[in-house]
Amino acid sequence: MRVAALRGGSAAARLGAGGSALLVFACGTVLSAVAQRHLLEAAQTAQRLVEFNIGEAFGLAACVSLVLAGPRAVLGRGDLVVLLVAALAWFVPEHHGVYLATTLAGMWFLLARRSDRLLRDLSHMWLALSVYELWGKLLFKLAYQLIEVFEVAVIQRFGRLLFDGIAVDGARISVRGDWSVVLLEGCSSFHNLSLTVLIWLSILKIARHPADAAAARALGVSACLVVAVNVTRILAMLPSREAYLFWHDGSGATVVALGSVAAAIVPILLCVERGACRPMPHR
Amino acid sequence: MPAHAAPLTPWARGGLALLCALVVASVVVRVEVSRRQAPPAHRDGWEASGGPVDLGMGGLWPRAAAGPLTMRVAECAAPIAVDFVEASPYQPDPSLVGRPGPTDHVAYVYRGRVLDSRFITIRLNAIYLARLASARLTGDRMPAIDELAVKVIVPAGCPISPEAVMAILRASAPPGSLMP
Repeated sequence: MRVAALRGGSAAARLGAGGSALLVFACGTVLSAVAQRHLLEAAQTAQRLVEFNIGEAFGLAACVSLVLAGPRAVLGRGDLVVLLVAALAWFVPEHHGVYLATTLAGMWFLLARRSDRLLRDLSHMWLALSVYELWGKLLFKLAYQLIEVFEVAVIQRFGRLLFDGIAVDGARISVRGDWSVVLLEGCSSFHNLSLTVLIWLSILKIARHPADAAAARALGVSACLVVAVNVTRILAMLPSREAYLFWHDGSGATVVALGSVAAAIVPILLCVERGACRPMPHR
Repeated sequence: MPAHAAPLTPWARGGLALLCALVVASVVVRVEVSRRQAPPAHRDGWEASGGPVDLGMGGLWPRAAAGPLTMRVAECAAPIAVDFVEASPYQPDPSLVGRPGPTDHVAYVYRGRVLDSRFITIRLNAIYLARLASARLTGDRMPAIDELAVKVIVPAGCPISPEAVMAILRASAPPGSLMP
């Protein structure tokens, strides 16, 4: 027990107040959003649950990894004040709104502490989480009519390969007269792409891998796969109400969500692992 | 990098303690609110209201009569077209309803606010979302998902303003549809 206590003490001493504050802030933000969602929001479908938790889990894992494995964080008084002010957003009664906290702290560290690598990397993660959880969704809702017209056109183009009579009216897609599907934010590839970028960035930060050309190619592959999975899923919903329920709310939704997450993870993971395992030349 | 521990200054320790207190408070508050709240089935805010259309300045228009109509005024040779379009972000593009001529003047009026510049659809969504956010923050009733805005198409060359069209519309509202 004494050894454990000593180890705990040395870890806390190594982290210092700065590292501990960063950890508490990162965990507190996700914890507040999760508590709001699960205690006070309407029930979610399995597909949304998988997607949301995966995005937050990767973002949080990257933040914790940066703080624990990186250099000792040194925060000034101004940094702590910003963290405290930003933490007031934990009380926003809406789970996306909680991520105002990471927006504010991320912007501060990006603009004011860009010379500190740890704080700069953390600011990237916090801003990516904010975009995924809050600003991306807001942008989508504001420009819904513009984005969806484009996305529905892409789905229609691929749908012609499978269905003869695929018809589109605004965001409404149908292959028969008495049944149609309306594309909303949760089903949009736009949403899945922001998750892909978050996962990609999290893996890069955890692996301490630069965002080089190979990583950008991996992101491109992931994006194409994720869009392909999503378009296929929406096309699979079109034939009937039963098909819709299976792919939107049933086990089909979970399979697709896991497939999307795998499509987001595998290319960048292969890229990072290939780099890590590359044999070093003898000198 | 050597990991020698710097002394914890009182403000750093205090800041960390405050952050921890805020985490605990944010979770405790939510647990307490969820214990007092009605079951989720009874607090779904996204409901269709079926209520009348708000024309602004106390005017209401019955939902049953909310269809396309035309209006003749002395200033215009051609009639003015008025339509009612869905204003929530998840509705089809309202600019596609009642297509105007290329030189006609199009304006939307949402709860009395006239929008007649560029990016009208985005501004309609922004007002709707701002109302939604405000309702969340203040605990008021959520805006209904079936709210309607008024689309006014004034023919080219007609000098009448959207506000003047709305005044005529309010005056011609069916009896009993004005706010008390």
